[in-house]
Amino acid sequence: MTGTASVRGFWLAVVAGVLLPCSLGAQALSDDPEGGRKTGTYISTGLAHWQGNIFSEGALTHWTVNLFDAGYNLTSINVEVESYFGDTFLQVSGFSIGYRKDVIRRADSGHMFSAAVFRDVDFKVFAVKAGGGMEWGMPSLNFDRTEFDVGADGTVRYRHTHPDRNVDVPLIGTSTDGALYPFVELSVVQRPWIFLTEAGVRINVIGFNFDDYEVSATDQVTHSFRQAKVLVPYLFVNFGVRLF
Amino acid sequence: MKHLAAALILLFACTACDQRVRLSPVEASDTGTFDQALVQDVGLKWSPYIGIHVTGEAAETYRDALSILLQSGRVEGVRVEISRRNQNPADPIIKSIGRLGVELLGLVGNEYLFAPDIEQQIDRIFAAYPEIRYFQIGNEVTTILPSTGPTITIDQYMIVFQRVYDHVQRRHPGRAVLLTQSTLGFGVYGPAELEAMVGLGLARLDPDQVIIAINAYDPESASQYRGLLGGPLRGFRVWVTESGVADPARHIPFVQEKYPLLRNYLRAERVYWYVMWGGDTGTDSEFSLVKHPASYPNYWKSPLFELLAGRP
Repeated sequence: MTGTASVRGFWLAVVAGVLLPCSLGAQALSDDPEGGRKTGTYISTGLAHWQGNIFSEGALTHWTVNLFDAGYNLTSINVEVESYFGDTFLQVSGFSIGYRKDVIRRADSGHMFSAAVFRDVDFKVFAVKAGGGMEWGMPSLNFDRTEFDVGADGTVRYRHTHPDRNVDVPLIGTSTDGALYPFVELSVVQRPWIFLTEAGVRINVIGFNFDDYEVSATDQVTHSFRQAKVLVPYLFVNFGVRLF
Repeated sequence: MKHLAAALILLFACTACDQRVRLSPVEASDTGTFDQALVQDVGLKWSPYIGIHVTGEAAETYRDALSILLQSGRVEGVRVEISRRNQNPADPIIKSIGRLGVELLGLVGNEYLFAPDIEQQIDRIFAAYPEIRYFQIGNEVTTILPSTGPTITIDQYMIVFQRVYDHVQRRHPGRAVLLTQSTLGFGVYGPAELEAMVGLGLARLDPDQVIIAINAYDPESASQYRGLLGGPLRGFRVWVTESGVADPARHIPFVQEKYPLLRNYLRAERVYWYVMWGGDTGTDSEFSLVKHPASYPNYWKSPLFELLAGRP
């Protein structure tokens, strides 16, 4: 990874942010006939994607070896219900609840639920929406990584990087299988007629553990554990229809 | 909407273009040799540990097969069961395997768990196998014991394990490292059992003296272990003591695709291929790296074995 992937991710966000509203700008903008903000509750679905290394260069491991590729590649589908208020309330324009499935082909992890509030600013052809909230669920397996290094003297060293599982997901599995963390989101939105289109970036602020182990040839184990917040971005596009 | 569709296609085509190329499994080529890229890839991902069923009918084949893998540097250790059924305290098959120079992980069979004098049994085993440093106390104890015989709950197992642990620390300090019984890695059964073991005192033991053992045949269904291994068992080492797939045609892709995941998800220091030959209780198991040991020296070898042996 990837500095290149991160830079590309940034430019893709810019592309998405420019091309999408421009394409939609050609369409008629349907404002509330009474001249106020357009209210409505929408159900939307879409795709989210990110790839690259979410950690800074060299931070993932002490060692230069990279046996199994530390790149991340997450493609997700998401469903959201979002409601736009008629007037801002305490600077809030609306709220949303959502579900995102990371790594679509696996059923037993990567289930994340979210709740957020947002504020949107209308620029006639599109609105810019900023928000934040909390995400809760079972994180994708893609976030768990281990890199090994075996010394000539038989010493085995490895770093296990994994999201902090700080909450329980009830009724299934073990008592330490879930994660809860905040996120912020920035997007551009159009709501022509009964439809909603949105593209943007969400940045999850996930607590990660960096666990270093060293096992000597005589089975003496030493370890060092560290935790840090890591920004995990996703680009996303959503399409929705108005429910009421 | 045409512009919108074009923009979206552009967006996802661009992000997808950075996908790493994954190696596909390659069959032996027409020239009768393995593709070198495949050999290197499997060699990098392989873990040089294999389970061996201790049975006299395969002794010559084991010796031959292990010698081949030792020569190619593809085996360093094997897991063998120390069974009470065999009354010989120093099994000649285990001894002969040990003499080849491979490290032994001694699986103390489940039947020992019911011995009222388990401490004395451990003394005898230690005396019989001074060359063994790693001893696993039982295997899949709640799932593989026949219902017709004695069975054990996980609570009862942890009492036995604690007795063995205390005895080893008191009478044989530094002599051995103990492995827990292997929980089964499917679904949530194994993780729930390991969580119960934590609740029964496992996490209070010395991480230098105990290794967590897991049998995992589908690494991605082992996701429920991650909270335990990153939480109360964070200081403990993890070995996958059985893995593999029951289809010789998929042995090589399994090592390529699943072994890295087992390391990633479970931080497994070692992954033992389930079995060198799994035919001692009937039909040859499709997990087997070799089959038909009675045909020695012309026994069957799986494509994975041939690749690891470094020959076509």
